[in-house]
Formats: sequence, structure tokens, C-alpha cells
Amino acid sequence: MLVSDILKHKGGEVKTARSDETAMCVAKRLKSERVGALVVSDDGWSLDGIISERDIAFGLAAHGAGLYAIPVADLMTRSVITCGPRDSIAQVMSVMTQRRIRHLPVRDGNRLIGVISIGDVLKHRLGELELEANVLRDYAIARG
Amino acid sequence: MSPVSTNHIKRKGEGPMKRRISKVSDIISKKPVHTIKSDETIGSLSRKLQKERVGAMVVSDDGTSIAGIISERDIAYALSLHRSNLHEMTVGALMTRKVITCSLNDRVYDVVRQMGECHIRHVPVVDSGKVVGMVGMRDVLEQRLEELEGNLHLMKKLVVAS
Repeated sequence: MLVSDILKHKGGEVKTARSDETAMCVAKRLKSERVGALVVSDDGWSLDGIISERDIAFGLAAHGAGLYAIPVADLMTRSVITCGPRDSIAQVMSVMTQRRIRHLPVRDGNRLIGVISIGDVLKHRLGELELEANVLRDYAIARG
Repeated sequence: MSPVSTNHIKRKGEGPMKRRISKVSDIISKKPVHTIKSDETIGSLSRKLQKERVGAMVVSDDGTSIAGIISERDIAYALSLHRSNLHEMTVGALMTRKVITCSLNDRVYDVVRQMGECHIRHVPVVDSGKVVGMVGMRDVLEQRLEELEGNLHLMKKLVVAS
């Protein structure tokens, strides 16, 4: 199973924010779009950073009452870890657990073709577990 | 790397199909459960989340019974409504009160399904009315990775043996 298989299912839409938007603006978008992170891109193509619910939550510790007006540029993660469409789900799982991140933008050459979240990987895992449970059940039935 | 889980290894005389289904008790975090009191501020919560490297905390005033749950997401979602007041608000004002929990004996499969359906990442584990752990999405993936590694290890041994 590859990253491209998950993208086929969920689609390759990349939701972006600009680095000069405020934390409040981005927080609002995270809520309305029901996503945990937005790719930061000033021209809509380049990968300038990524901003997540976590960056906003931690931002509160650093900025206190003033957080809502802080620009994304001051909160985002700049060195973004990405994956490719031909990476395996196991590789993605390993990066997500080891680096403690929940979102990996998918890059094909220079193009951003989607974002894989920990939730997407888990949905895939659920399908596997379901299969496993069915196999076990069928086996039990077959054995009487 | 932590020691490899042995759940996948079939016992003597058992076919691979006899492998048992993973339970919450197999993957529950070895870390202690982090709780926060409902009268603490969101600012203090934010510092604690960062320090403990967790995405959510059980809200409990006595350390064992669950009053609610609060996550990074709750903080982010509340920012546009509460703006500069957010960091002085109390955890109790922002927490989710209807907490979805699981027990040690529940199947991991059911917990994962619930995470997907309810759009949540953390499910507290309750045993005899007390919170004893937390299952996070990451725990589920970590267990799967250990399992995959174990399979690979087994396969290598088989190849060497043959």
C-alpha cells in the first residue's frame, strides 16, 4: 500500500494559508475546513511551511494574550518533512511516530499533490483490522 | 527501538489464524496519564501539553475520575472566539464534557473505528471508574509498526533457517 493509494481515496486537495495571515484567521480555517494543519504557501505552489493545531496551542504558551494577532510566519514549522506518492504507508507511519508529526505534504517532484494525515493512515489501518477480524470470524465459522 | 511486541508470534501448535485480536491492554501507553484540574487556565494547559509532549489531557480534579478531556484542537478552535481572553480562561470552560472512553478489554479495532467516526485522536482508558491510561492515534500506529517489524524479523529467521 502506497501514499498514492490513500490520495486516490481522499483526493489531492492541498489547503493552504499565507504566512502573513494571523493565528486567529488560521485557527478559524482549521475549524471550518475540519483539518489539523494547513500548508503555508504565499504563492499557492511553494512549500513555505506548515501550521497545525499544535503550533497554535503551543503558541499560546509563548505569546499569551497576544497570540490571536501573531502572523503565521512566527508560528509555523519551516523545515517541513514531506513524503512522495510512491512511499509506503509503513514508511509514513514510521516518520509520523518517530518525528511526532501528524501531517505530511506529498510532493511529486516540485509539485504538491496532497497531504497525508495521521487520521488517513489510521483509516487505512482500520480497513486492515476489519479484514483481519473478518478472516478470523470466517475461520471460526468454518471450524464450527 | 523498544522491544518488539510478541502478539504476532504464533504459539506452539497454533495456526496463524489463532492469533488473538489486539486489545487496548496491549497498546496502552506505558507513560503515566497526564491529568489537569478544571480550574487551571488554558495558558497553563498549553505549557503542560508542550512540556509533557502530549496532544490532550484528561481533566480531573481528584486525579482519577474524569470530568472532561481537553486537547490542542480545543485551544486552536477557541482562539477566534475568545481571542486575548483565551489564555486566562479555565480548562473547565473549554473542555469536552461528554468523553468517549474505552476499557482495557476493548478491541483496538473498535477504538480506532470510534476515533474515525467521532473525529478524535485520544480515548481515555477507564478501569473500575478510574482513568488508567490513554489511547492515542500514535499508540495504534506504533503498535502496528512493532508488529510489522516483528513479522520482518520472523521472515528473516525463516529465510535463514531454510
